[in-house]
Amino acid sequence: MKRLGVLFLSVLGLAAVGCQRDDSQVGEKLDQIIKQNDEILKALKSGAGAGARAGAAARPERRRPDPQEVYAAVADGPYLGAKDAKVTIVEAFEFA
Amino acid sequence: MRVGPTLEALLEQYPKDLKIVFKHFVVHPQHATIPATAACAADKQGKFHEMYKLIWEKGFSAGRNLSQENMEKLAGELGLNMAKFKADQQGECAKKVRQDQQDMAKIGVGGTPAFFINGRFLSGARPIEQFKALIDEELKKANERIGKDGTTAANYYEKWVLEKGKKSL
Repeated sequence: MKRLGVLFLSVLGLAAVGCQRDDSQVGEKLDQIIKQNDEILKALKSGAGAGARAGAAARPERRRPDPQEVYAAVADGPYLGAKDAKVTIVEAFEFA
Repeated sequence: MRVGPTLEALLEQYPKDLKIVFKHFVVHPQHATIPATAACAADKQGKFHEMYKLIWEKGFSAGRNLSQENMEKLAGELGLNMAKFKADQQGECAKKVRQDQQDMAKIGVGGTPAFFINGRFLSGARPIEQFKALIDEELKKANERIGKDGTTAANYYEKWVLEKGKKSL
């Protein structure tokens, strides 16, 4: 009976040690996962920023006419004012 | 239309020297195409400016009612031939609106309102002083050129803007 009791206590002790080892392994694993997660988030953030910058670079600002240049604006629509005026304004318009 | 009073004031200030030509440039096709073809169809019956004013006053400013139904109502108020009005809207005016759009896009227009003052670009509803500064510069040039090398007031735009101006952006 005494031997049985010692055996039982030994098993309990071993189990406790085993559990402790398991807990520490889980903790290590969690630390690794958290670290990896942080690295992924960091990479995603920097990647998204780079992507946005690349997108902006790929989408050039629309060119506009140079106000110092003269453009051949076809003036064939309905008009107001003098027929043979020296200055013609061509207005591009819409009802909006 | 915010620029409308500015343009009217300019016409008053330069009664002999200024002409304002209207070209369609539809940026919002879901709203602006029908009134554009309606104004063009009214022009085919000599009523562009009357229709233009009515569309702003009784269409755009009246809850943005730019529907075909309202355009026909406005055309009716002007006493237009309705069969011709509708036929022109669908036919020649649909083409004209597209052609105007292409003419303007080719030289860099991307939004409205946009202006070319003897070919020189001015974007948006600017204060009248900005229009006047460009008009005065162009008027000075025109006065120097007219009377030389066969340039007349009647052919000035053709010779100095259409022939010499840049054909695309």
